[in-house]
Amino acid sequence: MSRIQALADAYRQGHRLVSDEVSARLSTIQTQDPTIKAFLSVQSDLAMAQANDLDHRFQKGDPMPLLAGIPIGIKDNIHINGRPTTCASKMLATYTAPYDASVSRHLLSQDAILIGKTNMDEFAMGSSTEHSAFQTTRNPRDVTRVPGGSSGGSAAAVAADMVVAALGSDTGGSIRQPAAFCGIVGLKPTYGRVSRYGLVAFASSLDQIGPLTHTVEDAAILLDAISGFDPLDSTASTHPPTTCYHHLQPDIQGMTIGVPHELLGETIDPAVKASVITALDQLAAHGARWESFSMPVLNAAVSTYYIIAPAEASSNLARFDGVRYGYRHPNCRTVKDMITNSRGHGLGDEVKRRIIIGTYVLSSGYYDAYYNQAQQVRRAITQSFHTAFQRYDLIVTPTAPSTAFELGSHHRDPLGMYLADIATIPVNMAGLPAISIPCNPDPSGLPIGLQLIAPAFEEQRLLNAALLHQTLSMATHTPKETL
Amino acid sequence: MVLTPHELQHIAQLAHLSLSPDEINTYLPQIESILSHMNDLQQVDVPSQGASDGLPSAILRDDEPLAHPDFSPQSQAPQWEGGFVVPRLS
Repeated sequence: MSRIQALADAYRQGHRLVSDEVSARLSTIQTQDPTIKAFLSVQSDLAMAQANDLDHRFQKGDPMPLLAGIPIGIKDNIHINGRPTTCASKMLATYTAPYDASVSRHLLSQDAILIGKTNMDEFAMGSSTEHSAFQTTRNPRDVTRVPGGSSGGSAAAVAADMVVAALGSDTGGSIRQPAAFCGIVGLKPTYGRVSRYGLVAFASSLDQIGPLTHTVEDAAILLDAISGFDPLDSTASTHPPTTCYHHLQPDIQGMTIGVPHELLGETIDPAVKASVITALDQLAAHGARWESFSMPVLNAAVSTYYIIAPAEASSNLARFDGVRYGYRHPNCRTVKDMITNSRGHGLGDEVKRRIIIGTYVLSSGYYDAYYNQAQQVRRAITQSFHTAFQRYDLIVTPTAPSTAFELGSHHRDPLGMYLADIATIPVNMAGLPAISIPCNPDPSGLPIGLQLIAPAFEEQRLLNAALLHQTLSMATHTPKETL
Repeated sequence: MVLTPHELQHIAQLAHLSLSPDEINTYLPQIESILSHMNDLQQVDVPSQGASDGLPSAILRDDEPLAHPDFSPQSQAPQWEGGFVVPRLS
């Protein structure tokens, strides 16, 4: 059952006031966020004023959009006009967005309440939300563990019921992996399906905005709300907005599912593997057929990603120079000193590491060996998915090779952290839609994510299959245990 | 892959980043390890293609300028008086 629909019905029928709902969410934030640290900023007064206005409109019987009065969190790399956009970086600590991102505009036009901005890895670079300049977000399911990243604040805020839903961005798994770690649903739409206008760019050919929610239905509702052509994004597709919610049906009858054995091998935690196979068998019992197959090029996906993404990042982040944006280092003798010191002191370790890698692979003498080769492997990955989808309706993998890891456990091992993205990265490389949904947790109760991948622009197929799994899986409906 | 501190410093300069000696000592083995791992890519047999062919071209629209009914450059300006108003240089 959609939590958004249930709340919308309660508003319409007069069983619940928007102001009561928002007040309850703000109260949850006040009590839980000192521990969880999901939010970087919360606009309580604005949210309550909007809620009171909506209550008047509901009482008058005005026709209201489905998202009216729904409290939503927004990752802090997505602009909301007049509010901070820090990207969890010291560089943008005092930056205020001068315009709305297209996704924010869509949500505000449907009277959603954008309650606050959520924590993230700095400039979306990381898989644990430990690389925030301001705070480390904790996993509501086990506060000694990371919530995943980079949209860890959004995932934690949803999992801890601080908001009904949230938006994140996904460049190499940054929506799906935190959704898996926190036991919620995370949807990465097809590249171009959702406008990136107003999203602070990390790797422009990979970035995509998407929803994090408790249920598959809610993910469909949010996708319908934010998708569609936008002339302000030169890579936005001309497809019309989706209508997935109204066409949702738990259906996988007759579908063939491919499972790449490269993503279900020895590198995958046995508990994760067992949970994914159980989920596949459940789907098979309801009319699908699954089989293992090989996509050898996936073994090169992580290396490919960690060349292309840093290369694009080194270009995109060149604008943060202390001249036009945010932090400027004091007491510099020359303009060059000012720029290098502002960047050196304003950017964090992970961001600097990736900028250095990106600069290196784009530099003369290394471009062909690294960047050009990576682009060719990327094409091979895309082609490999295209071939696979001629045989299979869906591809299924674990979302992550393990459950949420302990805070600080990868602090000195960036490569180890990168390798944990092996199942999510190929999807971004090929521009495909994918969803992470909870499957059976591990023996200690930690959530495990099941990743479903569909051909480009086949989000409806993806959501229908995910809905069937949701109805079959107890994990989604297990009462959350926070703190 | 062996990267010297001097080379790392040079790359940082190209990227307009100041690095402290501690940062160089920390980053050097980490970046060496990452670049070594990426060398695996050289073993992947791929057909020769241009670098720009990696994008999922089927989902990119034509590169044509399009007007947006709700957008104007003026709307982005903190101050607009027939042009962007900026502080006078002293």
